[in-house]
Amino acid sequence: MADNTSIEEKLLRKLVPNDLSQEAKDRLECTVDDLVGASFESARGDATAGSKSSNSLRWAWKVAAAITLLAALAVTRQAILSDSAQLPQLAVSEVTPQTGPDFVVLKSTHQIDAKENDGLIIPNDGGTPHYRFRYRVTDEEQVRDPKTGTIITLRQPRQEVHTIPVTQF
Amino acid sequence: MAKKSDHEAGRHCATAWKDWLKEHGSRLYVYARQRCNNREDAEDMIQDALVRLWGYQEERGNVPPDLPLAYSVLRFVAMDHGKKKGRKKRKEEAIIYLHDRDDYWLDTSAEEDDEAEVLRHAVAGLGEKLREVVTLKVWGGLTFVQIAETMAISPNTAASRYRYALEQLKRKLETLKGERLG
Repeated sequence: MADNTSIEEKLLRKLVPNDLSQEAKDRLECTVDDLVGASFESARGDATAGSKSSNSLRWAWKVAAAITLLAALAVTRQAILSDSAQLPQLAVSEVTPQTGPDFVVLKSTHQIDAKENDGLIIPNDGGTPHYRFRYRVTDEEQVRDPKTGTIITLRQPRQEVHTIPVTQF
Repeated sequence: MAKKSDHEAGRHCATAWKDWLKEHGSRLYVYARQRCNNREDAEDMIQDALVRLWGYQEERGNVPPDLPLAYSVLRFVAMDHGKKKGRKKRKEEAIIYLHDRDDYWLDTSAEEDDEAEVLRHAVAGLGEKLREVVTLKVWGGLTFVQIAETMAISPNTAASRYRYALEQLKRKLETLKGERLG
């Protein structure tokens, strides 16, 4: 043990590890600033949405359902118009909502923003060791009413957690 | 009012993380550097680990992470990094490394005698698992329990590997002394 202690002392005394370069240190500090900025900006956004968020979600899904229905109506109307010579304007205007059925889908995306690897997780309660990956995903749908120019964006961020149990060592 | 308090909270958080980096950055660099062939890759790995650690700590009040967790994440970043590089690229890096004589993970300018040089080569020549334990124990500031947590091994295994590594280093130094004396 005493011999090992002297080797340890020599390692500490005689070998000096290199340090990060100044450029790397500056880059890491910039990264911290960016991460903090992004994190606290999004937190502020969530805070202002706050108690209304659940109502907003309900409204958003109602709008999405309305858009789907209107889009189906638009497709049907288009099929009828292409087959028929003329339709009474009055009848069409009675069916058509004020905003118009011709919503244009601008964007429909499913985006994986980030993947984080939490590494090997060994639960303290004796559970199965597993690797854990977390995906930050954003689903976004954007439609436009060509008559009024209104753009409706539905964005749903979420986190997906995937665990892979370790079966062999 | 809410904006101001958010701004102050963000500033406080950034300061905490930057202080944490000032305290532990060099330790993380030593660990990362002994897992790859050059300074640039080691610094990239730390950058990558920092982003991952931030994401992980967002669910824990954005406080800086514990050191064992930081090493654990850095370890997996290093493993990913090694896989991505691929065998051909590793050969190319090895060639670059041989020409870049100043880029060692231990500071050669601080060496005062031949024994230091022998020790440096001996540590670099240890098997990956032994070198990892030595790095975390001697320069990483971890206990055996923390090393065990980082490397997903038992504390006894960590201690055994450390003991075995020191014995190997001691033998190499004794061999050098023997050669000099006669």
